[in-house]
Amino acid sequence: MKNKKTIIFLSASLLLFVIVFFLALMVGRYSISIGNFFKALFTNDPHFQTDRSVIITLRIPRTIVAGLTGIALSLSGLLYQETFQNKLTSPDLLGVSNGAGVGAALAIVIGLSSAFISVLAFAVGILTVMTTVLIAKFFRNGSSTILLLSGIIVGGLMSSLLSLIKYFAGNEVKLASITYWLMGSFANAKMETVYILLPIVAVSTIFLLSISWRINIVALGREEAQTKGINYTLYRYLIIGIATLLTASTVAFSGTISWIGLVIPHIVRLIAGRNTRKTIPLCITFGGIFMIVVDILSRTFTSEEIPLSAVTGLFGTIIFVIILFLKRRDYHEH
Amino acid sequence: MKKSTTFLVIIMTFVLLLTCVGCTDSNNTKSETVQIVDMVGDTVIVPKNPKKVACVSRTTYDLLIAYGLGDCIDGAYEGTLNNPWVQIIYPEAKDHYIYGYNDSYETFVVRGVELVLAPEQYIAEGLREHGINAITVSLYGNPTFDNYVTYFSDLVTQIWDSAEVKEKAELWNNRVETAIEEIQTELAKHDVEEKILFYVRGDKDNGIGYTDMVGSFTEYAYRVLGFDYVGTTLETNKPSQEEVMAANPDVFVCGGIYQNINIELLKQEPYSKLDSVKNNQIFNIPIGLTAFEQLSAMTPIFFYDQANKIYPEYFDYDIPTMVEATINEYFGTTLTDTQVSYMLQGLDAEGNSLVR
Repeated sequence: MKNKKTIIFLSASLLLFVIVFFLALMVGRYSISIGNFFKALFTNDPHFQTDRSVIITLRIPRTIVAGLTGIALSLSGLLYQETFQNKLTSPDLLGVSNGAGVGAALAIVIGLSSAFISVLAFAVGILTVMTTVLIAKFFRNGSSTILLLSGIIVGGLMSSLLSLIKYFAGNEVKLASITYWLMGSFANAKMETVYILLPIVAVSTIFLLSISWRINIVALGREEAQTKGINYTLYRYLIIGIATLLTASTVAFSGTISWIGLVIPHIVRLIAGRNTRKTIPLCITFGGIFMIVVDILSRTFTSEEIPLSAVTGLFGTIIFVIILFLKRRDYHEH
Repeated sequence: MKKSTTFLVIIMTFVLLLTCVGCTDSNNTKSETVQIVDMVGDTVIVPKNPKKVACVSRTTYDLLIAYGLGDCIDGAYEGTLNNPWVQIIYPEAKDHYIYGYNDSYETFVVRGVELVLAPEQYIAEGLREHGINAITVSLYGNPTFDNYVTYFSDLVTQIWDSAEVKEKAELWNNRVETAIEEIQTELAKHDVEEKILFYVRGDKDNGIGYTDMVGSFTEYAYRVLGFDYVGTTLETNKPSQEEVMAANPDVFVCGGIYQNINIELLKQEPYSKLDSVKNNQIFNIPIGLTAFEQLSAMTPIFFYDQANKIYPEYFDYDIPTMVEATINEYFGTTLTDTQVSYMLQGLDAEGNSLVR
């Protein structure tokens, strides 16, 4: 029954993904009629070269990056929630977002170019998670609680460092850039971003799909995993590593985007339960759709782009309330 | 009884004397004040002829020096003093204290600042609440800048009671009015089609989508010159790339220290597909001690320079000569032809980018 439901939702969401993707290429502050859209994209008519340029240079890269970011953050959230057996964990649990924020802020203060902002954000994000894992190791206790606590400690430290950097950023130019970066945006997405992000997300996703049954076992806990002959520690760190890589790589290009990693896995679990063989594909389509829709909303209705986190926060809250309401109804029915 | 009366009389006399001395001292040290209405409409009493002024608002530094009040300046906003042209045009600037945008109250107290020219009302109000004399000299007018072009210039003449300052301020006011009138009169002679103009601000690294809206001097300046200024209809000063593309401007003008970077950005897709870019209708705004598009000694030249660039068929002002003469007149510095040429290209005195 649940299999059939999953297939229906997966097919529908896949179709919706394609529709939303093309819709994203059609709408924006620069209006292009449907007829002109197809002429611009599929003919060489010089009359439509401006429309073509807007679609190819601006909309295609940012829509692909939005889709990939949605997929990456949703998967990352799902992996963290399953590994830590805690449905309230999100991709920035181990401090990766805070760490990436510190790296980006540092790069902005030093005055590095946008490419180096991404590199430094990614590097410090990964370094932060490594520090979290290292601190947890000192306790010689493999429990998830210690790792979670360590994540909170390191995340807090990074948050303080970020405040310090913002304080020392001094002039309003750099401070504004840091603040804007932290709120998330796809405005700077280029095809070069796609070329970097696409292989990371694609390879990670394929790998996760291939080990999805092992993720299911790791999600049951150490004892259960060991009785099934799975190297729990190895797989746990492997899953955490992939989740961190997905988060760090997207945060590095698009800034911090809240809620999506928390909300999408919950929606997906409502449909398909906890089986990651079903939830991973659904996370891919749902995450991609959600993020592309958020991007359309953030750039279409106002002259200035609305920061992504403002839109995801608004939608995330509403969706989360709906999820809680649905779950409460389930509890009553049972 | 008699002794105690004598003692009381002595004490009373002593207290009275002290009070008199105190009153005399107070009268001697209390400086003269003047009541003014600042740019946001606040009525403020400020000291007359202040000797230590903090120019935190970036439109104030240039004109104060131009009016011969450079010695009264204690310091200026870091964004103003970081401009390499400042040291060349006004070498005395090296002694000026570098202020932040919203420095602590104690900084002004410690430095004994008599008057702060603040860029925003909340900053000026905060300073006044802490006993520091401050007025708002905003970069923006409300609702437009039409009534504010000579506002600061007139404020200076109210605060500094000097015939020389008054004369210089009057001269500057006249020059600005003349420049506008001259250009408007010439354009009126021709059947000039209204062009859509987009101003790229460029004082921050925000790319093409960064402009000034209604209330700014640039909006005023380009409107009175007969342009359809894109910023007038925008909801924000940071329009998205698509918003700029949708506006499809006939002319782009790039100002600020990032102007040359932005001009290169305009030559890339998607902007390169716009007719204005294809027809090379991209112009820069020079940067001197202050960016020309901000109120400064160079304001009349800003109008002439833009008229020359956008309407070369009607105007041919000798901008380099004007720049040399104006800088010499107001700041006492003689620039070389090469330096003037670099200034007009938005570069520093050595021909390098102003972006550090």
